[in-house]
Amino acid sequence: MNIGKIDNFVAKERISEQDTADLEFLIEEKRENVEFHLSSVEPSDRYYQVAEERTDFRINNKISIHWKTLKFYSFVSILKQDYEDCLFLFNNNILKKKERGQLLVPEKSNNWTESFADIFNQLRLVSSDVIKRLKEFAKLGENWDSYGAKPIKWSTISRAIDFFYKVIVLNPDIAVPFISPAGDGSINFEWEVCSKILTHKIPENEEESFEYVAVDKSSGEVKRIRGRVSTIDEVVEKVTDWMT
Amino acid sequence: MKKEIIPDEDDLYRRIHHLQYDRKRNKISAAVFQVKRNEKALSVNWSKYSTPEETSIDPVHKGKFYVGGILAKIPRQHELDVVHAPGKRFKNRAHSTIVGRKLLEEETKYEISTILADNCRPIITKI
Repeated sequence: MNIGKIDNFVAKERISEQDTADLEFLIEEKRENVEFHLSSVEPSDRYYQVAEERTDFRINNKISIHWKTLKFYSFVSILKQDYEDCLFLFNNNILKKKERGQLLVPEKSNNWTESFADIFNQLRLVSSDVIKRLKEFAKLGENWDSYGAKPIKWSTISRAIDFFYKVIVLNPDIAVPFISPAGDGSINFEWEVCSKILTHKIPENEEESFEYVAVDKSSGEVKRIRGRVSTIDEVVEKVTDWMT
Repeated sequence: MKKEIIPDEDDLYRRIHHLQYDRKRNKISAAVFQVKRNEKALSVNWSKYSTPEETSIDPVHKGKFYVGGILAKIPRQHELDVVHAPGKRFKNRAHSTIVGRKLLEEETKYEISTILADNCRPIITKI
């Protein structure tokens, strides 16, 4: 059994003996004769609870798995066909497939570090300003607009970042949106291309549906379409359809 | 203080947080005109009794904000009312409100916020 830690997706080194033993035990229960790399997220910090999430992006024949903390973004890209062989380590020693936590990648997916570098560089270029701006919203205190506004919660910022990544992974050339905080704790996105604008918000309440207003001025007159969808993936679809 | 009728062609000023102004497009975010859960109206200052410079100062904490201006007729064209409501607390004679069903109803309030924002001119965009 060869278990190596891939720290920030470059170095391959062995993890501690005890960790290795635990993992070997867990892996042996699940699979025999399969070798794994271990991809690790950054150690916990005080924001970890908010940030400990995973998003899967599917591009062509690859799956890019994204963990985030608020200081660090990590991606692993693996081939779709190998995805089913992956195991996820959750809450110290409980292995669950497709859960939050750490990922054990089969060694046969040995070309994934290159894919990661491509995707990471591409996303980093497009998104650094947007992420930086979104993080600024966390600094807004009570009454930041002078009309009684609520602060913007980390969980809302985190969902906005997730949403944004989903859009740009699918549409790397899409125009950068204007993103702004709203007094009710939500985050507004405005996507504009030529004479088409799509405005929508990420509400503070996770149970709330997503409202949008699409404006088309291409015919000379202003046409407005308003609507509501229930999942963030539908918003991604709406942005993709409307703006591309 | 006596309440007056606000003419259609008069400006209404509203404070804007700098993160709600898109300098590249010189546009104000729809977020500026979204009512909060416990809000019944949007507060503005009537240009007859206030200037953009006066409006830019938060009456409570004295912080400075950007300011946008919208003609009183715009909300009225979309079935909203514009009402002079001079404030007692800060003795603000210019205080007025934009009110109406469309501003509060789930079905319409988001669209209305985009319409008001589209028609709001950035006036002060530097602090």
